Amino acid sequence: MRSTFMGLETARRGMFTQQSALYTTGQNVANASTPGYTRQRVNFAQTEPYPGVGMNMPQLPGQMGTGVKAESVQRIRESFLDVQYRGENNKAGYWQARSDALSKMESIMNEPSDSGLSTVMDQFWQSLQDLAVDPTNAGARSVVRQRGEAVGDTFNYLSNSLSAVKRDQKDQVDVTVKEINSVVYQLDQINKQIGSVEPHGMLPNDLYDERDRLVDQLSSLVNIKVDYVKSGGNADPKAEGKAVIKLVDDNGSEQGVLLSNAGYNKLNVNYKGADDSVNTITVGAQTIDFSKMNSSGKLRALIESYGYEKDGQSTGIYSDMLNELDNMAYTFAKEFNDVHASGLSPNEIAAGKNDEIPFFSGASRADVAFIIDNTGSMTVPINNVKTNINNFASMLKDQGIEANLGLVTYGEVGETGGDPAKNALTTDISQFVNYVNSITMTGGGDTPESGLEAIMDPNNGAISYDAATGDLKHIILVTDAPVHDVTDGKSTYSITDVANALLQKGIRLHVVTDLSNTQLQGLSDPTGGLFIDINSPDFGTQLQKIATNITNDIGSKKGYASRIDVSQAIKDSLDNIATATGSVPSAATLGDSSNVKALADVINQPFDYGNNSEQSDFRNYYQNVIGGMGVLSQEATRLTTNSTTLQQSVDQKRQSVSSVSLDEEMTNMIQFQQAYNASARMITLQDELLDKIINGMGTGGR
Amino acid sequence: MRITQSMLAANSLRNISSSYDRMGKLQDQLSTGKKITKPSDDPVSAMKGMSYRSDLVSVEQYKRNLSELHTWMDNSESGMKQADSALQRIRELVVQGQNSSLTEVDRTAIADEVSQLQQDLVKTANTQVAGRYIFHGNDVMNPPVTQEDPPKVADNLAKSEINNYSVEVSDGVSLKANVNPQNVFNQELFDVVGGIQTALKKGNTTDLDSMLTRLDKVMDTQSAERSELGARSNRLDMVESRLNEQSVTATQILSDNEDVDMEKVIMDLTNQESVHRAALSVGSRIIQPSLLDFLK
Repeated sequence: MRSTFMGLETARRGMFTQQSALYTTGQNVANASTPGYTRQRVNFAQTEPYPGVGMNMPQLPGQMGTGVKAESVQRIRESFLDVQYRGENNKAGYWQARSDALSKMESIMNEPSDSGLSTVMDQFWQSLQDLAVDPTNAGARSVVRQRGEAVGDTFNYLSNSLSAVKRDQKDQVDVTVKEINSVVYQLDQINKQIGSVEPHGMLPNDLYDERDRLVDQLSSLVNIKVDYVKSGGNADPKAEGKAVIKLVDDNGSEQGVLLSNAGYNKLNVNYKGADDSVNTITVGAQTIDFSKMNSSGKLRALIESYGYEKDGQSTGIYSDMLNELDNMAYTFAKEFNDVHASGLSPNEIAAGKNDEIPFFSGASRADVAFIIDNTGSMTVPINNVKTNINNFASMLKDQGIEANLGLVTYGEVGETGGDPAKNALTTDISQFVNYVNSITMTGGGDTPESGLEAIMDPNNGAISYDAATGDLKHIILVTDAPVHDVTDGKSTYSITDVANALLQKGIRLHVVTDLSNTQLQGLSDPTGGLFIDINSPDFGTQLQKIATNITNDIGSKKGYASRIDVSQAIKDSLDNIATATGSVPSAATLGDSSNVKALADVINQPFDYGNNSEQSDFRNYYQNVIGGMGVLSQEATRLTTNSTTLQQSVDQKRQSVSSVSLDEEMTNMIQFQQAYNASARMITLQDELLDKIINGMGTGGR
Repeated sequence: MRITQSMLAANSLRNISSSYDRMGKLQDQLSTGKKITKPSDDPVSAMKGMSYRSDLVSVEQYKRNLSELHTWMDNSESGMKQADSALQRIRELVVQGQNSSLTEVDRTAIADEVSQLQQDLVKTANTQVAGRYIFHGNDVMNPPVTQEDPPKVADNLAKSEINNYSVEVSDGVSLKANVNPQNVFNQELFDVVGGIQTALKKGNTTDLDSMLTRLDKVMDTQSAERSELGARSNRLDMVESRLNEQSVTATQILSDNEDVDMEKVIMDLTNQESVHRAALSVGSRIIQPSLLDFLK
């Protein structure tokens, strides 16, 4: 049996549904310019027809429809396009960040231009040529010194600027990590909120929009894969569920979980590689080795420019360029110094001897560790050291190098006072003299002593002195006896191993011993140190030879570009610039310019600038470096443009599906409005019908 | 494909922005006159530019070095000319002095003139140019003739090490600037002149004969040195003209590599401007109207 008011109910349902469709249209129009907004649509569905089947169903001809309901409000979004977009966004983020880093480096290097390193070297060469043409001209000398200082300044400036930008990259990495963690945290909050709404059977469209916007942001930072896990309860089948976000590499294999049902994991970058470079990334409890991780994104680009550890070395856009500068500056300065030291300056010609003056210096401090044998026979040498140490230190000081002295005493390991004993490094010469004064002599037993222990002992040996980068590192071994080594069984070290260890650390070892003690030459020769006679009557002169060797040492290659400077000797006097050839000091003349010509030619000579056994001259090598940088930068710019174009093209498709078209909404609005009017008209009709029944029936014949 | 207002607006903006970008690049090129401002614009061009610049610098430097060579050679030439005329005069005086009919007074007068000429020779030998002695080879701070009366030359005059004041005129190529001190103002010359004075004062004609032979030999050596200097001077002129040509060529190569063709850039800029205006106009026409304007 049909109900009386069924028509009314059907029309009423129609009106309400059209009204909700109009509300949704209003919502779409209001949010037309909200970023990340997806247009919503009401899904109309018919309500259950009457009657339902069952034992007591009335016998009616067919089932009658009962109206319409708004079943759900759904977002119009294509999830495949989202996946595509995130992939392109990820690549665009990577290339954008890389291109930025490279273009910053290009503006620092400033080539080709009239003010870059290339021009400065050309001007230095010109000044040397001018001096070669007239070696007696004091003005030309002054210009050579000035241009030499300009070369040093330019290297320093480039190195410092690049280091500053490198530190900025590190800051950017930290900021990006914070951004990633913040986005993941927000996603976790949204996940929880979605998880609390969906079991009620509703679709939280605004939360979905917000989540998609955050995931898009995250995708430009790291490469991610998003999966969805259905919420339980009475969730609508169209409900998306909670997001599970995993860090993947470019092949798609998982590397870590950022966000899951259970919660989120923080991402952390670890700077424990060589030279503070990045070695691993941790996501929660999982550690990923950065050099094996090939997942792109902004984070990766920033870490690659800052520097990461690969095969034990630090590599990266800025690290590599700083290394190139160091290599170029070091090789050039060393070769230049060698030629300069072999020549004679006016001062040396007047004195009649070759002082081997270096042109470029490299350090302002030298850590000199004296290792002194404290067995009984050593009293005289120990006194010699004491009396001559002040002269030694002041010789170094004259060349602008501060002496940082340390003392290690040793005898026979196992005897009292025979184990190596170390005093702290000090720049106070009188303190050092106190150390020497407090040496107590021991027995000594058999002639070889434990010298290698005194060098290599990890706590008390000279190798354990903590030297700052950029300091010169020298050891002076003073002993009258050979040392125990592996061959005689009383030591665990061998001469060749010790020499290799010293070479690796950039330490020069000088030996002051009896000239017959050739065993110890195996330590001084490979490391570039001197072999001096302990029995020489003029100990002071011998120490001076070591001092000259120290002042000619320009230190280690690492960081040299930031330290290079004209040496103190040249700064003190223009007449220390070596112009004449040094083959016969007594016959040298002031007009001889052959050494200056050789100095000018150093720029054109092929050397191994790249530390890779290939020879080229300075200009060629530098051009290659700049060319390489130019190619990388050009590639990055090109790929940024390409990936941005692709990203925009996918975004267009997304917009095409999901963004609000005002024309469409207006058309829909007319449609819903008319449908609403029609339903309203139906109600009026039902009202008339009922009026007929209630007020018009059963009043016949009145 | 469904298009919405926001897509149209975004597209319009993007196109106008890339048009600005292109105009910006053209403006850079026009104001610097160079095709590239950073290596990534054209890495190969940048590398070549650096190398051509260095080449140009070295050619200009070698041209500067040449002026020093000119100074030396010109001054050596005039010094030797003066010495030559002095020696010619001495020769005449010797021939005159060989005449046995001269009185002692006459011979003394001749000897005095020879003495004056000797002093002139010493002064010429010790010629200084910009504070440097040009007839002492490398040893420019010490005079070649250390003692005036009787003239003694420096000890190292004969050493070969000082005979190469060379100046670089090309990569690895040097030209010698000085004359060989041993061939020009050597001890033999001054001994001969001194011997002539003694022989004249003593009236010893046989001595004068041998002196004349020795004088001739000295003059021959000097003259040979002078022609060698002349030959070197010619070579210098050739080097100079070659360097001048090289300089022009290097500048041209550098310009070809880096400089921009002004006319082309200006035309491109004009073109781009009209495209830009069209984009702006079309954009504004599309993004404004929507259905709302037409519904009542």
